[in-house]
Amino acid sequence: MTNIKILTKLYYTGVLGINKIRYSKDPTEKRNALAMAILMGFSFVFLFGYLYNYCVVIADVYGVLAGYSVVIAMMMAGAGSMCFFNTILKGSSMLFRAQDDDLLLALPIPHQQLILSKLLNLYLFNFTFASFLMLPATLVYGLRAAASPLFYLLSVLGLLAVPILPMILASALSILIEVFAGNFRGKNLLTILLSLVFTIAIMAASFSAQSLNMEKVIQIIDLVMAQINQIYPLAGWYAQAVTEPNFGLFALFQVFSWGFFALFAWIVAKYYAVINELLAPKGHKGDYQSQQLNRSSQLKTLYLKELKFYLSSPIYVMNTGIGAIMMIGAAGMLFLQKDQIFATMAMIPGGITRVQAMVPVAIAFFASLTCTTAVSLSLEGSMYPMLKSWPLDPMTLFYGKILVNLTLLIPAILISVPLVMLTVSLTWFYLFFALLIPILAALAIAQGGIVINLQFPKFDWTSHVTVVKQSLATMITIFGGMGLMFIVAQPVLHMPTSQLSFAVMIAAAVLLVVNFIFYSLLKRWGRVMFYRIGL
Amino acid sequence: MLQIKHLSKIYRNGKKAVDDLNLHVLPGDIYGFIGHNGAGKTTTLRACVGILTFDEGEILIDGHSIQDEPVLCKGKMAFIPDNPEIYPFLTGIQYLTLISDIYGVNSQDRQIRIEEYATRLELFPNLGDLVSSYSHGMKQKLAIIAALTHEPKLLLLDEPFVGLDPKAAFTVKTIMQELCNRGSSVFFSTHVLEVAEKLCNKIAIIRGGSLVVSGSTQEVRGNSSLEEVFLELIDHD
Repeated sequence: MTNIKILTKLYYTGVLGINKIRYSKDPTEKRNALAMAILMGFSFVFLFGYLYNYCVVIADVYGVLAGYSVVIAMMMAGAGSMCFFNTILKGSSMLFRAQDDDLLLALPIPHQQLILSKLLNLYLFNFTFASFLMLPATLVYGLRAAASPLFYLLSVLGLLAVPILPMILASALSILIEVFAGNFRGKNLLTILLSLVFTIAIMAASFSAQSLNMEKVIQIIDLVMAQINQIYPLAGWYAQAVTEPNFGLFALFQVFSWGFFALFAWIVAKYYAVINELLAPKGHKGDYQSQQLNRSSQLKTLYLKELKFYLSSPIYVMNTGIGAIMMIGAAGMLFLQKDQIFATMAMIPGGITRVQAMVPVAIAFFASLTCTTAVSLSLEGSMYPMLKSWPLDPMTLFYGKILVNLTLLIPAILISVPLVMLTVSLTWFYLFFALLIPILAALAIAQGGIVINLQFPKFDWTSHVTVVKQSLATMITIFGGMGLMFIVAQPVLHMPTSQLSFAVMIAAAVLLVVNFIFYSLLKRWGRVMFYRIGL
Repeated sequence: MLQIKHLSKIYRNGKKAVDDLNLHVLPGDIYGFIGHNGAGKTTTLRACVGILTFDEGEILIDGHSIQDEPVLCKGKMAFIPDNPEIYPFLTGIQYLTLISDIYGVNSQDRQIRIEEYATRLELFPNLGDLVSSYSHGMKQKLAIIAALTHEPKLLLLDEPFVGLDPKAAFTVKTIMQELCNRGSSVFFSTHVLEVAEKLCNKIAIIRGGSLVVSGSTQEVRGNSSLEEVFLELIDHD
């Protein structure tokens, strides 16, 4: 047990950056750590409030007919999906062939303890996510259904087991993918594809849940529960077990979850060396033949390098590409629900015109969610100093990174706008702005991402997760992008219907000014900062 | 080729890493830079190649200031760090192509140089493999080939022989000599005093950020071995 405690402490000291706050002599580093803590706290409060409200909405919409336990079941399915999704991206790399494996394997620690400590870290990581979704649901159910203390007790005990099954299944799957994918490139592309399929499936499932029409509302209990059970069968068990309460089902849920955990831990510990061997990088082929080496411009070569890097990191792709996927998904959803939307909008005076004016801003909002650049400098990691020794203008490097962001967003915009046009008939004027405003937003978020990353770099990472998901630059960019889009949307939301075309022009002008400010910042301050950071 | 004038570098934690350092590397020189751990060797090299900014002094590359004309200066030199970090998601040849594009090497020259140096360092068959599959020594070789693709006028190396097998180390030393015979200069840090003694025509010893002695290898060591001189200079104030 002592070894497991030491290893867990070691892991969290690294992840939480505790030593940096305690021992760093660099005031900037301390200031960034403090800012990160404040922003994390703010994010938690914001997200908790958002999820709580979401649970209230579910309770209001479905709870009356389906019973409030549907809130628990839906959030449990969400928590399970999130744990599965998180683990499939990082499970295998956390359990096997981590950067510190050579060091740890050489220590006199039994494999069982080593793997148990790694599983524990993975579990605690997922437990945090699961708690975040389950606590608001538990609170909303408890208040709406005036639940007894027994419900809260069972919920707390049940919460401990919530992340286990999806975590184990995803870990097993991620190990299998890595083993069968064979090599680095294949593995990453397969992981990205699988994760994309999974994300789209989740989006489709949630869409089909929203597309239920009012005539079928009477069958809502069966439909909602059937859908939840399709996504994650244990969610139904759990909801029933804690809300009824059903002790038999509760015990079954616990035994099932912890049993799987024990079985997986036993198998992995027993075959640890074999799995590690299977996951080891394959020996090099050593069969390179001479080929024509063509010259490219600095910008093209840096852009291609950046794109290759982007596609080599599933965590990077899945966390930053989601806005582009959501944009197309939302445009598709709009098309499929056009009758319903227009029936509603037709009842509001000037509603259709406002929808037309909202289209550019709505697409721009999704564009603002995709920012690859906010962590692109940090992800250079230990390579960053070498970039400074290359004979290139930092702006060329920035352009390469900005182009990757645009490569993701411009095709998404070009797919989404025609999809929207199939639903909302746009005049040439609105069509022009439906293309211009999202492209300006894409450019602004890409430039802003670099500016933020220059101010808040993080080069001392051991995993992409630390940078992509937990860095200060990521958080500031997400909230900054939302804030910018909030400002941009104001004229379209509040100006009279007769002046909506003017409102759209104001929105574009605001984005144009923001782009100009970011560009000027990069050209003057950014060039200097490029050399000042990463010392 | 490389002139360091009154260079001083103070880190943000207040540590003075380099203090009023002066050095002059001429065309054709193989200049060894010796000092114990933390003496300021890497800081000096990194300042020369524009990775680190510095507080006082001037660094000139072929007569141009690294601070005023960084792109021009960097185009004339190449730097190989002690622990070469190379993008693991690229293949060896993709990395060499990237570097060749950055330095603007034309197709014909890059083809000839990459084939020549990769063959001599026995890395050619592995150029199609991902860098992530390379050993430390292979990455070191790749970094050396990348540094040579644009035929730099000044080659700066930080502990270049760490991780190289004896044959590769010999090849690198030969390449360094050939480069200098063609009029380029090599400035490198090392802990291996025997290598410095045999390979370098000039040597500088640094201690606590300050230059202790510099000059031709013969002048610096006198009648003693370089090891004896080094230990005496480092141990006595």
